[in-house]
Amino acid sequence: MNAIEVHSLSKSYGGRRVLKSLSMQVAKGEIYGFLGPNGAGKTTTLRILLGLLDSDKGTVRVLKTDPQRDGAVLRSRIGSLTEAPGFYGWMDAKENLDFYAEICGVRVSPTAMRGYLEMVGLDPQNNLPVATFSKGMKQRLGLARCLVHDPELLLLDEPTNGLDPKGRHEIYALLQKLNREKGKTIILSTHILDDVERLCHTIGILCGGILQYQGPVKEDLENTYLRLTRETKEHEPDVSFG
Amino acid sequence: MSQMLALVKKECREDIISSRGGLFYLAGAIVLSAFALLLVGNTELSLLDNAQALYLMSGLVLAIALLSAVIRGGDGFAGERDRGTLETLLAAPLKSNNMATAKLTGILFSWLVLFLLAVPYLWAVGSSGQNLVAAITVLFAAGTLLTSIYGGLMLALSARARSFKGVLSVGVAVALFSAVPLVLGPSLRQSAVGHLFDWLNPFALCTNMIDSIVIDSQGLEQNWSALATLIVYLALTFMIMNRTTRKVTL
Repeated sequence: MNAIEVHSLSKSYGGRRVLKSLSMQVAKGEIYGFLGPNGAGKTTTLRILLGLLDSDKGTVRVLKTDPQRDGAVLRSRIGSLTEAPGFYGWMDAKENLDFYAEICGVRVSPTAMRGYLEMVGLDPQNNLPVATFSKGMKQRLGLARCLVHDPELLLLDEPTNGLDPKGRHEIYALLQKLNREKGKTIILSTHILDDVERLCHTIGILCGGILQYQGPVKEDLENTYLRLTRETKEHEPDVSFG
Repeated sequence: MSQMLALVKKECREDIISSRGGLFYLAGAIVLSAFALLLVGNTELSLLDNAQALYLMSGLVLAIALLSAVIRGGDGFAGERDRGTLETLLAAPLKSNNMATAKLTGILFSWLVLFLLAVPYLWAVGSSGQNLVAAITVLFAAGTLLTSIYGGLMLALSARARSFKGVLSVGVAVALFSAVPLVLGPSLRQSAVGHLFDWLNPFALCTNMIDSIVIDSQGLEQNWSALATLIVYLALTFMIMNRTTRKVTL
C-alpha cells in the first residue's frame, strides 16, 4: 500500500517549470530518500505534498487524501521539518513544542514533552529562549516538533542541516528506530549520499523537475547520481530553482 | 476551536511577554502621560473644558489604537513569513482563515490592554465633569470597531504581501491618511469633500461619534448612522479578510 502517490505533477513559478510531470510512489512504512541537486524541485514537491502549495497539473494523494482539498485534515497526520525550521524566539523549547502540539489539537503531558526533547538530544531542563539556540539545536528541536503529534508520515527536508557528524548519526538512529518500531513512513530529502545508502529502502533522484530514477538504493549510488545530474544539466540548463 | 484558542493564547502572550509588546505599551503610557500633563499643566490647554479635554485624550487613544492595529495586522502573516515561522504555522492542521481570526483576536486583546491603560488618564483629565462614563463607553465601542476594521484589512493585506516592510509602509500611509481630519480646518471639514471623506474614513467616523457624545452630550441613538456605517465597514472587512486568507501561501 502506498502512503504517497504522485502522477504527472507540474508546477511553475513565474513562467519557469520547476516540476515537469513528476510521478512517484512511496510505500507505507518505508524510508524514502529524495535526492537531487539544489533547485531540482525537492522542497517544492514536499510543500505540495503538505498542501502548502497548489500544483498546476497532476494528481497527488497523501495517505489517500488530496492535500490541495483537505490539507488541514491531512496535516494532522504529517510531521514536517523544513530546511531551516522557524521558532518563536521568545519561547523556550518546551513552550515551542507545547504550542505546536496545541495547534495540532494534541495535549502532551510534561513527562512526554521531556521525553521528546531527550529523544532528539536536547536538555529538557534548558529554559533559555530558543533565540539563543544554535542551528543544530534548532534542527533537533524541529525534529521533536514534527513528532509531537505522533504523525504517520514524516516529511524531512535536510534534517541533519547544521549538525555535527555525531549529531547526524544520532538523528539517523532515531529515524531508523521510528521507522522500525513505530512503522512511520519517512521521506528524507538530503544531499548526503552516505546517509541515504545507510538509511533508505527506496530512493528517488529528482533532476530538472523530473524523477530520473526511482527504485532500490544502488551500489554505485554516487556514480548514478552524478551521471544523472550531469546529464540533466546538459539538457536542461535553465532549471535553477525549486 | 481549541487549536484556534492555542493561537489566540500565543498571540496574547507574545503581546505581553515579547520585548516588542512591552515597548509598545511603555511608549503608549509615556505619550498618554505627556499629553495628560499638557492638558492639566499647560496654561492654554488647561482652559479647555472637561468634555473637550476628554475628547482630545480619547482621540489620542484612538490614534494609538489605529497605529497598533496597522502594525500588528501587518505583522500577522508578513512578519511571520519574514521570521520564518509562517511555514510552521501553515504546516499545522489549522485553516488559514481560522489563523486570521485568531490573529485578529490577538489584535483586539492588544486594544483591550491599551484601553485599560488609558482609563486612568481619561479619569485624570475628566473626572470633574459629567461625561466621563459616556466617554469611556464610546471610546471602548469605537476603538473595538476601529481596531477590528484596520486590523482585519491589514491582516488581509499581510496574507498576500511578500514582506512586512512593504505592508508596514502601506499601513502607515493609510493610518496617516485616516488621521487627516484631525488637522483639517473647520471650514474644510464642513464642505462636501470634508463630509464625504468623513463618511469614507472609519477613523473620522469614530472621532466624530466621540465628539457628538462627549462634547455635544448626544446619545448613541443620535449617532446611529455613523455606527451603522462602521458596522457595514466591519462586515466588509470580515468578508475581505475571509476571502483573502482562505489560502495563505509561503
